[in-house]
Amino acid sequence: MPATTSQIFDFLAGLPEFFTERIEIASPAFSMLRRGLRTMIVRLREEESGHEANEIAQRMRDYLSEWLTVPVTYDGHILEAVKVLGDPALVERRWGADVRMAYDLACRGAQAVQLEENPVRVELRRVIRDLRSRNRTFKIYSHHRARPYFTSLFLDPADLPLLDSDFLGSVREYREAGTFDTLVKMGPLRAWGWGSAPDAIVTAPRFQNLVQLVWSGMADDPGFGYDPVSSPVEVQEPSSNSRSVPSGVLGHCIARRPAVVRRLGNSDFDAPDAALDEDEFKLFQQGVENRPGEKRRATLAVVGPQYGILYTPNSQILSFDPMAATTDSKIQLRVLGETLVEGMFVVMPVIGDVNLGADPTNEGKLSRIWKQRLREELQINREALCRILRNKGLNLQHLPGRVENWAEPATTVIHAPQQRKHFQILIDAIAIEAHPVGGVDWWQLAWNEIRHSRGEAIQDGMHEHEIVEEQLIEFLRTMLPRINGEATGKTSFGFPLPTESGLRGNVLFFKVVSIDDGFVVPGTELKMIHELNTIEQWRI
Amino acid sequence: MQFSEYNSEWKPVPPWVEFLIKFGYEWRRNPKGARRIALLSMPCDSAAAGLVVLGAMMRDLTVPEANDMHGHYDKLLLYARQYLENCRTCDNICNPEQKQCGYSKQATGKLRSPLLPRQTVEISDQTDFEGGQIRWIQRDGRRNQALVTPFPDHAKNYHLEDEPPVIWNQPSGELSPDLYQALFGRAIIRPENLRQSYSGLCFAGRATGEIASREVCSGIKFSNGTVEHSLERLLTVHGWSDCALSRVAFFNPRTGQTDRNAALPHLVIADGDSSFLKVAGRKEFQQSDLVGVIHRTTERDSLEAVGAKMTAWQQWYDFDEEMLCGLPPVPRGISISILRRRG
Repeated sequence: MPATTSQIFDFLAGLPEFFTERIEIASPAFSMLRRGLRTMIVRLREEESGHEANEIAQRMRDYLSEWLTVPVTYDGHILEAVKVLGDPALVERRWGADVRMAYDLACRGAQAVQLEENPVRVELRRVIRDLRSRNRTFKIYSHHRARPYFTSLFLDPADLPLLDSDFLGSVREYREAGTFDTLVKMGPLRAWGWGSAPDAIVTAPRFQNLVQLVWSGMADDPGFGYDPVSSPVEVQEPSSNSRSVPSGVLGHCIARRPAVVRRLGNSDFDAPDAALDEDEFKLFQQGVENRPGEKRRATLAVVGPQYGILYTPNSQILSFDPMAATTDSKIQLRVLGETLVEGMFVVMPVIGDVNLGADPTNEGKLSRIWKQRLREELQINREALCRILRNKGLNLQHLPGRVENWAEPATTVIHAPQQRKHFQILIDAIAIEAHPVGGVDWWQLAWNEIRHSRGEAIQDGMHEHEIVEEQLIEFLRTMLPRINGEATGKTSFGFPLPTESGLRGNVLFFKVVSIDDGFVVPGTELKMIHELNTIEQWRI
Repeated sequence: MQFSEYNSEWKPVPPWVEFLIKFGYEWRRNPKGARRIALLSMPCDSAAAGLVVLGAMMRDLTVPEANDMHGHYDKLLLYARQYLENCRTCDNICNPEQKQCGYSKQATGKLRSPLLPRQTVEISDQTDFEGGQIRWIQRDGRRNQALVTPFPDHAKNYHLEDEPPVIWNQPSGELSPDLYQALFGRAIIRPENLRQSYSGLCFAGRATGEIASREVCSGIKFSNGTVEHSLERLLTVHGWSDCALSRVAFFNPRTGQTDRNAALPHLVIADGDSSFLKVAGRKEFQQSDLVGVIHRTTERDSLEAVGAKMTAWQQWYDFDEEMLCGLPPVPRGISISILRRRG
C-alpha cells in the first residue's frame, strides 16, 4: 500500500536529515582481479585491437561491473569467465606482453578470491541480521536479476529468508513503497547502468538511513540526486551530497548527513598500494563517451528467462493487459515502467513482407531445416562440433549450452546466434548443402527469417508501422477472445494476421517478466528481441 | 476546515495542502507583470497540481473581471464564422492538427441555453459578419422554428454546445462559497462570480489523460463540518461534477484538446513532467503564465528533460526572487523555481 502524500510529508518533517553509513570493503585478492581486468579492458577496447578484442573487452567489462555491484558468490564461475581467453602464451602472441601480464594477474586474483567467502556477502548478512535483531524495517535496492544473490545469503534454516517484499528494483517500486527505516544498497549511487538507482533515494527519501556497501575506490555519481528545480547542481564533494542551490530557487531542504565511512576487509587501506583500486565505472564511462556512433538510452523489458526487448524511455508501446476491464483498455499504447508493467504483454507486429508459415509459433520454413541438421550433428559428436565452431571463430562462453539452445524448436522467436557472422559460421559448420535462391545465399535467407522473428521487420518498416498501428489496435480489439485464451498460462504466443485485418504479417505477444533501466544502445538494436547476455553489453 | 486523503480519517488541513493552495492564490498578486514560469517539485506523486489550481481559482473568484461575460458576443461571432466558413463544409472531421486549419476544436454550430433546456439553437447562415450581427435558428421540438437576431446582452444566456454556460441565472445551481471561503478566509469572493463561468485558468492534466487526473483529485476531500467536497468537484472542471458552471478550463495532454473554445488563459497549471513539457511547446499557451508541478520519484530521463527546458528558458528569463521571497514557508520536501521574462 503506497504511503499517502500527507504521510510522506509528515515523515519528511520529522526527518531533518537522513543518515548514510558507507561501508567500504577491500580485499587484496579481489583488488588483484580488478587490476588485471581493468588493464585488459582498457587495452583490448582500443579500436586498433580489432573487433574480437573489443568484444572480449566488453564481456570482461560486464563481468567486472556485475561483481562490483552484486554480492556474487566466489566460485568457479569467476575463474571460468576470466580464463575464456585461453592459453596465456597465445594471449601474449595476439595482444602483447602487457595484456599477458594483466591476464596472469586477473587469473591469479580469480583463483585467490575463491579461498574465502565474498566479504560483501559476509557484511550484507551481518547488516541484515543486525537490522532484524533491532526490529528495523528495511528494503534492499537491487535490480531484479541480482536478487538471487541476495536471497542466497540466507539459506541457513536458522535465518528468515528474504522475501520479494524486502526488495525494491525500479523507480516505480520505490514510488509505490511506504516509509521504512533503512535502505540497503550495494554499489555506488549511480543514475545509470550497473547498480543504478532512482535519484529520489537522495531527493525524496522514504527511509531514515541508508546503508551502502561499496568496493574500495568506487565513488558515487557526482550528479546523483538530481532535481530539475535546482539544476544545474554544483557538487562540492561527490559523496557528501553537499551542493549549492542557485539563488532564485527554494531547495527541498532534505539534507543528507555526510556519510560515516567504515572500512572493512583484509587490506591495509593506508598502505601505498591501497590507492590502486580505481573507480572502474568512471573509467568505463569515459570510454563510452569517446566511442563513436549514435546510441540512445533505453529501458529493458525482460520477456522470458533468456530474452529481453529494449525501448527508448517514454516510448509508446503497443501492449495487452489481460487484467484490464474494458476492451479499449486491454489493447493500448503504454509507457514501459509507467503504465506498462510486469504481467502485461508487449505486442510486436511483424508487418509487411514476412512469411513465417501458417503459424509463427512453429518453426520457420528454413529454421526447421538447419535446426534438424544441428540436432543430428549434436547427436553424432557434440564436442567435435563445438571445437569446429571455436576454430572457425565462434568463440562464445558456455558454447555447448548455447548450441543446445539453438537446436531447440522455435517458440515465438527462433533460437539462434545473435550475430550474423556467428550464424554464418554455424551454417558453414553443419554443412547444409543448399543452392542460392534468386542469387541470395541460403544462410542469408535463413538469417533473414531469424531477424524477422526478432522483430527487425519493425525496424525496417518503422514508418509503415506507425501508419498501420491504429488499424492494428482496432483489429486486435476485435480479436480479444482469442488473445485472452492464448494469454492464459503462456509467456509468449503469436498468430498470423487474417486477411480481413487488411494487414499482412504476424503479431507476437511477450509477457513482461521484469523491467530494468540504465542502458545505452545503438538505435538499430531497439525494439528487437535479444538474449539477455547480449543486452548486458549495453548496460552503462 | 478538515481534510481527508484517500478515505483517511478527517484531520486539519495539513501544511503541504495549505501551502499549495496559497501558492496558487498568490500567483495573481501582480497580474500585469511579465510572463512567469514556475516549477514545483514534490517528493511523491500527488494531487499537488490540482491544489494549486484550486488556490488560483479561489483568487479568480475575487477578481471582478474573471468571467467569460466580457467578449462573449465576439466569441459567438468567431464561432459562427468558424462553423459557417470552415467546419460546416470540412471533409476532415475533426482533426484540426492534421488539417492545420488553425482551430483547436470543431465548431458544430449548435448552441444551448440554461433558460431553454429543451430547445435547440443552430447558427444561421444569415449571420452578418460585416455588420457584427449573429443570427441563429431556434427550434422548440414541435416543428416551430424562428430566426433570432440576439442583442449582446441576450446572447449571454447562450453558450456553445458541450461547454459550460457563461452565466447561471437559475434559482439554484450556483457555486457555494462556504467551502471556498473556509479554505481561504482572507479571500473576498465576489458573489457574481459564483454564477459565471471563467476560462482564464487552465488545468493541464496528466499525460495519461483526463481519467487519471480526475482520479487523483477525487482522492482529496475537504469538509467544513457540514458539507464535504472532493477536490475533483471543487475545481469545477466541466463534466467532473453535476455543477453546470466551470471556472477552470481543462487541457488534456493525451489528446491535445482543451475542453472549450476559449481565449488564451492567463495561467496554465500542468500536472506532471510530460504535461509540463507538452504545454510548454503548445502555441496557444505561449503568452500564458505556466506552473509545472512534477514529482521527483520518476526516471532520470524525465527529470533531465524538464531541467533542460528550465535551463533553456534562462536565456530569456531571470529568476523571480521577489516572488519567491513572498511565498509562505515552504514545507520540507517541496522545491520551487520561478522564472520571470526579462523586460
